[in-house]
Amino acid sequence: MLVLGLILSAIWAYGYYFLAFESVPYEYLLVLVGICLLLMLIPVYLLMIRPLRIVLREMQALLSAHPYRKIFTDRVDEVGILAHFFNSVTEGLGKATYDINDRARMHGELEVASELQGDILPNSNPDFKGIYIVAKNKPASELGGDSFGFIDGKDSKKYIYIGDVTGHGAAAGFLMSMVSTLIAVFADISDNAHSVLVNVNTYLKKWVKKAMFMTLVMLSWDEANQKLSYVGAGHEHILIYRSKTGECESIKSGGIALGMVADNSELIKESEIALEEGDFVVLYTDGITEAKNDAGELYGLDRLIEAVKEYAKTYSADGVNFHIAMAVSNFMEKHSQEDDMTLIVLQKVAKDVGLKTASSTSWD
Amino acid sequence: MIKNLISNLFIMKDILEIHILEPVDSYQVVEFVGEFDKFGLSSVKPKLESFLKTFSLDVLVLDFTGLKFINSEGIGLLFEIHTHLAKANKKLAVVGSAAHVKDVFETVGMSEVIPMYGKLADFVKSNNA
Repeated sequence: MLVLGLILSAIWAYGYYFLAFESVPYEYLLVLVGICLLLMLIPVYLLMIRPLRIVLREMQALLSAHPYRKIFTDRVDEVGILAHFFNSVTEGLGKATYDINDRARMHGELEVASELQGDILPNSNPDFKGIYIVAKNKPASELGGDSFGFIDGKDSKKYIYIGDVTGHGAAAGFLMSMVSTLIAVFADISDNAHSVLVNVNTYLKKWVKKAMFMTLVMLSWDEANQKLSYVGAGHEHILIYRSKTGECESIKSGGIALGMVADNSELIKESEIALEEGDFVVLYTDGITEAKNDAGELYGLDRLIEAVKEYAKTYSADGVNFHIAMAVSNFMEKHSQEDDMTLIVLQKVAKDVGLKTASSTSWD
Repeated sequence: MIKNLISNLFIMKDILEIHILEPVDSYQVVEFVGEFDKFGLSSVKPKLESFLKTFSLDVLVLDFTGLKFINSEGIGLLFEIHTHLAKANKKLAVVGSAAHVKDVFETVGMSEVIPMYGKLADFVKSNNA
């Protein structure tokens, strides 16, 4: 367009000067040519340079992380294509940025929830007289479904529990937190473990409408009488290692999982476990027995029993927990952890001895 | 033949399959074949949920004869199905469980909630009684 304007101006100036107006001064012609060129440049600026500058300015803003705006145009030429391309890219970018921000927000909330849940679980082991307890927990995700705790009950009763909510993730984490809180509340006012779990179940069934449940086993340690009893709520087996014989018994915890029926009072019962000094009781969640190796094999109850037999004859509760955790990790090889894992090892010690491990309850 | 073998190697088969059989009188049977864990659950859950939306008979019978393994994730889904059916005054029953499956049911206490039968014939006999 510019070239065409220049040619036209030259032809017109040539004709004007040589053919008709020979007497017109040379300067006048120059001014006329200049005005013609200027008139030709205005549409060039408006149609080409200015829109291009707008597109480039917005692109520069985008690339330098400054605020940019959508370019409104209905043109279909090169400039229009460039503007539409810019709009399309920035629209996708905006959505991606929103997704990233949203993800960051959700991740932040998940971290807070994870911290809150971490505060519910004990981070150190207790020192109950006559029994040495070492617990370790390893969640599979930010919010775990496994729960455990040590609570001072009425009189000389101490409660030790381990539980596992169906599945894991946010819903399981929320239910686990709810059950842990209910246990802490009812342990304060109930006379025994049976009563604690009946009350917890009643409230759980009443308030949780979603079809979820939690398996749990609660041990009740009477410090005064040095007697141990348990109430099962559909949880895994309880393993008892007898130091005199070197054998490991596996008993079903029995009962029914919390949240399955409205009234579990007739379905769960409290039973005693007779212990002698040096005996062990091992509680676990299914994340351990269902841990898989690279070949897809399960760790299984049999391997766990063998591990208890192997380590309990040599180590204290701390060592038994450590070596079982190590054995499970070695078994899994490079296979990722699919479920939360919790392991509690109790060792019967002398009546007035209160042992407390220095290690935390985190399974590292 | 070699071509078939190679192609079979690259076909990912679901670890759990369900076969929904034709309704019989007041009940309908769904067969489970495979392993009912987290991965099995995710492969059958959508099909089961859409089936449950249209299920209108009195009893849903789950045939576990072909089920090799079940864990708490599977039990969790069964409990969801049981709760869903109970709200609509319908029932859930399980037949043909292997020893391991039966053991998991009893451990969690599911056998207190969902009736279990040795074979489909035992359920039919009990249902007709």
